[in-house]
Amino acid sequence: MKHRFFDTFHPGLLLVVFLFSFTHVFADEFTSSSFRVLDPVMAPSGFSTSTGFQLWSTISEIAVGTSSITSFQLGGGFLRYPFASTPVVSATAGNAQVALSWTASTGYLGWTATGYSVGQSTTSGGPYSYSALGNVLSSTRTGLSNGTTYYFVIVVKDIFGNFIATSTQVSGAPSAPASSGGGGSSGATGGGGGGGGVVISESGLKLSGRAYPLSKVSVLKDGQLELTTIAGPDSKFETKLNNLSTGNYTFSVYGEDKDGRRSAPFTFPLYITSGSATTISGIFIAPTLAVDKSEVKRGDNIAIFGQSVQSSDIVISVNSAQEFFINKKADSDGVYLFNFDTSVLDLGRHSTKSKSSVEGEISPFGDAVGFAVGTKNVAFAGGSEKCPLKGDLNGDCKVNLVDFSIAAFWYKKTLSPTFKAVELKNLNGDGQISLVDFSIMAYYWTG
Amino acid sequence: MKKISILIIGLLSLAPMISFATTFVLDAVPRKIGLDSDVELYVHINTRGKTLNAVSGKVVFPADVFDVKEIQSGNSKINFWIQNPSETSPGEISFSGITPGGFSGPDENLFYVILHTKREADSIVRLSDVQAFINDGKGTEDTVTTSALELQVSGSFASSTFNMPKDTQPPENFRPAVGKDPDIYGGKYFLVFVAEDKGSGIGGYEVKEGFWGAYTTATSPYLLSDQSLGTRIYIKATDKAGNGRVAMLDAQNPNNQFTRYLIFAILLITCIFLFTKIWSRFTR
Repeated sequence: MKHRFFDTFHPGLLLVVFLFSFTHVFADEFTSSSFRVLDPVMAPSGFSTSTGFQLWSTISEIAVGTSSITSFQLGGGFLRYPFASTPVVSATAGNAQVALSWTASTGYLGWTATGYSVGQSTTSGGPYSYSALGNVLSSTRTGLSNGTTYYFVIVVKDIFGNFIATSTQVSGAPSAPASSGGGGSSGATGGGGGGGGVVISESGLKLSGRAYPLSKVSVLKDGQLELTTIAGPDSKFETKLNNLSTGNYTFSVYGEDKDGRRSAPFTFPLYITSGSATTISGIFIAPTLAVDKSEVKRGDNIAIFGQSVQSSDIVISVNSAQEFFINKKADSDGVYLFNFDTSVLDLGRHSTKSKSSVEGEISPFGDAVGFAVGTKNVAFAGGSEKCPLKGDLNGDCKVNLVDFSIAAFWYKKTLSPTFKAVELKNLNGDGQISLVDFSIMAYYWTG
Repeated sequence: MKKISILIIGLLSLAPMISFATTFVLDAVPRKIGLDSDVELYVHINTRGKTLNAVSGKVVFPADVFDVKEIQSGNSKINFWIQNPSETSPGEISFSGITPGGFSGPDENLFYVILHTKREADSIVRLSDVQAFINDGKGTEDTVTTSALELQVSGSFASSTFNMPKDTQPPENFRPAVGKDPDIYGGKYFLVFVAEDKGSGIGGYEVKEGFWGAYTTATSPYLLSDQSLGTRIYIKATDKAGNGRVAMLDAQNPNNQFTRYLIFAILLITCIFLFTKIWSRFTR
């Protein structure tokens, strides 16, 4: 009877039961001829042995991890470190109030943003007094003193109320509306102090964040290139847009690294009130990423490289049936390089992407770059990674209004033989221009 | 019993698809409308947490009950219209457009329509042929749901008139560009432009080539008459309230512009020389 009971269960279930029946906690360093593990995190952990099986590892993450009964899989490596992206916060000062809005935080590897709190202080850097807000993306802080600069941070909370990410600080100086005889108007700034009783009007949208050292940063307003600026040697940039009407906008910010590769755009919606000052800080542009081979012979290395903030911590993800995470430090120019051994990958298509973190701020993942693991090495076509993968119909390495107009010209028409070849190469290749093609263009849009 | 079970299972299996599908929403103010009155019909979208970058569809209404008085696409989530919302056939307003980088939200404005009532009726306004695409670079079409709206028109209901919101702001700054494609205008240079207006919406465009040129009504793409690209181009966008914004595009080929100025200068000098000659003969 006992034998039949075990026969009916999947070996994966047996493994799970087996593992959880152990409660030993070890903190040890493991070595073998093929791998070495230093300073493992043990919470809880143990090792397991059977006649045909030995496991030296740390098992964790029941909810998010990699084991299930019907399709058992054991993720290699250590505990995964969940993280949540930091919200990008805007502050618009008004009469005795500051309106805050922010982008949604995205949780990875087990964390889920389930609510937000706002921290408020009259001192830059805090300490802040926190107020719970619920799962919302805006809040207006009222009852504030006109002429005083207030500093705010938005913290992201998990389901248990733990703070899992904190935005960079924004500030706003509320002021009374201007009377007919003149006087102060609303102002908001990205830093600095209040001081006197007069608040200088500074309307417009101020954007600040991190890109790459001395890199070109482009700002799109509703899909049209509005301005470009250059980040400082410390990768920080700050710029301002004026003459904005009251209304809803979509802004995108992207950077270009030293080799001309463009980052994934950082896109956020924003409601602007004409004449008010709005600040958006904490923009963290994702690293650029490229690979040296479009196809790599299994077992050979593929170089994964790019640029981000100098000395930042880079996490490279190689996506396969099993996802691999590699930690790498960018150098003083923000450049990173990792030679990935493809012997752990199956034959077929794979992709890699990266994100960056520094001083408690985390960028989103950049666009994934694909490569194949096969039987030969094929170098990545030189320079082509600098152009958008799709959507560039006139070959100027941009996807903008010109390409949109060309596509619109052919919308729902029979394509000429020459344009059919363009469509095949740069859009979805179905021999016609439909909304699918426009969707692809919108994704790869550079402005 | 078995049939009921199958039905329940079927409905349950559909439930996740419906609950996460992008929803196109119609709303109207008022819904009980007097005769010879206006009703504001709003077309919104709930992306259900997803980021979309392209939408299209049609608003269908009984043409014998309503006339289209106005269509407002200012302040829309859509940045570039492939098909501007417009009445393409009686009782049918078609639209399609994209938003680079995408948008998401529970109640995002696409556009609104002012309908004018013509006769008493209980009518249904609905959406058809709607499509929404996810911002994933692959052109993945999302599942969509729509809602219909019942509008009652009767002489017993209070009349209502839509007044255009006051708009004193000019259209937004915009950047025109010059393009060329072997299949469009026989491979000649053309001008592309699009402006936005957050208030009343864009009413139209005018283009002039060169400072001394005259503005002519234009749509994008616009075939340039100066194919040497030696002149500065002016594009004026005017919103529906009459506020204008002019964008300029410098000469792409300044050498040609220099030649023009040189010819102009030579002509001017020649004229001055002749004038002084004639003047001196008369005054002698």
